[in-house]
Amino acid sequence: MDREILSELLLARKYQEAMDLVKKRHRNLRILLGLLYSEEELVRWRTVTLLGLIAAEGRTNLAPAVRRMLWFLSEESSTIGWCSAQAIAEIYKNNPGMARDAIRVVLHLSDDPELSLPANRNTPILAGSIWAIGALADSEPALVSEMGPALVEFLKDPDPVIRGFSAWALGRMRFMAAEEALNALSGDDSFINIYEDDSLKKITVARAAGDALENIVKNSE
Amino acid sequence: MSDTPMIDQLETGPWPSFIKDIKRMAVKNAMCKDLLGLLEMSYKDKKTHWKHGGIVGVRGYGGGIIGRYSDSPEKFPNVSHFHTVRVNQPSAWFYNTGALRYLCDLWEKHGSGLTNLHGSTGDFVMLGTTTDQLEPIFTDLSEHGWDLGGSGSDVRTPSCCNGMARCEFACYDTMNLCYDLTNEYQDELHRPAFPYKFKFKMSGCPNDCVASIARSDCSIIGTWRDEIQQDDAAVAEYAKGGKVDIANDVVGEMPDRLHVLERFQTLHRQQELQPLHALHKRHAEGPSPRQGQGRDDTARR
Repeated sequence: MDREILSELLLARKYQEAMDLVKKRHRNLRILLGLLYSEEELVRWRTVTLLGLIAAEGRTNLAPAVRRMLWFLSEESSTIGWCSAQAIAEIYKNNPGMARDAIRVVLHLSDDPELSLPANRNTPILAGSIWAIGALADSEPALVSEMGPALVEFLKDPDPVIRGFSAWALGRMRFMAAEEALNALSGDDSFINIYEDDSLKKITVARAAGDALENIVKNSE
Repeated sequence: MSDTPMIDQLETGPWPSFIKDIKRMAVKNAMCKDLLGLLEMSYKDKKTHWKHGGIVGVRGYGGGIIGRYSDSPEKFPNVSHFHTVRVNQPSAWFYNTGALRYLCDLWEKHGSGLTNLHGSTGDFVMLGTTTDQLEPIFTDLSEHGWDLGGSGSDVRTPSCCNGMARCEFACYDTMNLCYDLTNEYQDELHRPAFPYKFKFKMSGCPNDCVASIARSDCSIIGTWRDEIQQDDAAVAEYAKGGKVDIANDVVGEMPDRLHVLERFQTLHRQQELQPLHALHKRHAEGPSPRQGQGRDDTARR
């Protein structure tokens, strides 16, 4: 079954073979998008990476998929967009034309009071939006810089995933105004899984904050 | 003086009221109590107090949960979240009492206790739970052999009529096909696969008891491959046997009995007695132009 084959290729980091399989049949793109919902965390994240690679290659138009993923992030008939924010960001990073209309919506999900209020909180979706900000920090610093203050506020969030992802993103943004708040997390021993450089890394929030501070200091030198 | 005078009016009249049902649950369930209050406020304000959607779900699935938040959590905190869980129903909605008790007990434990039996698509619908209960509900359902239904931009839960289980008109095994399709399209059912919804519905015969033509994208209706085959001699013998007075007990009870009776008497005179389902088939096909005019002629007489 193509779904199983694609999952195995992603786990083995065989991205070219996975891309070839996706291009072989149109139905396989739909199967790939379905892997954004995989129960296996690493498969979900590597699907994000693969979508970015497909966008970079430029031969498959992912704009319709981006529109659908944006719909999944907001529609009320109960489709939920697990990993849609991350996927849209990765596509935009590799081929801005495919996601130009969607990217601001994705980045500003973390501004959305409906999503960020504790009563309405959907942590994975919010975390995905924060990760998207961090992922675009190198290639689109001007685009993400306005999100800095919101992320600094999230450093005080009761949820360690939100604190940790925000620290990670602020480090990539080299957001100097976050120094004091990042220092305050030096004793935070809660663990998070953060996806970077094709791998899932289990680190503490304190470690994420420390790495972020290192980046900010290096940038200011 | 009642706190809910406007919705209380829905309990008057001869028909059962959903307000009565909610009130019965409200005695032991705080969500139902606040639901009544929110509904009363909606009637007073003449607008809904549910916000637009709600982004909730369970891990591994892209649908099956419909999120709902109220815009007045401070006034009615017990319905600040009121999400719906869709459960994939058994084919043809056959349950044993143990299964029904399990689902109802689960819902009283984790939610409001209110259900739709069933939603329009066919799912067993559980109304009203909070975000933190979604994963425990899903785990409990899965451990007991149940699964969520489709929602949003997924294939929606396929549904079918009773088919061969209960119906003489069934031309194929609808329940088996429904089960097969549900399993074939599990990925599409649980992860968004289409621009929007896609529905399969299956009826065993042209009566189309699940209204598949009106309510689905892929409607599968059983039909006869050729003319109905019958043993004329056996039918005539049966009719002569006197066990069934077809004219009075069957034709006489039909809505348009005048025209059907006339037709039956014509057939009887012609000694072309036909089984009920052949008559039924002609009835389902609709009146011919001559028959339609005949009805008007009857009125004018």
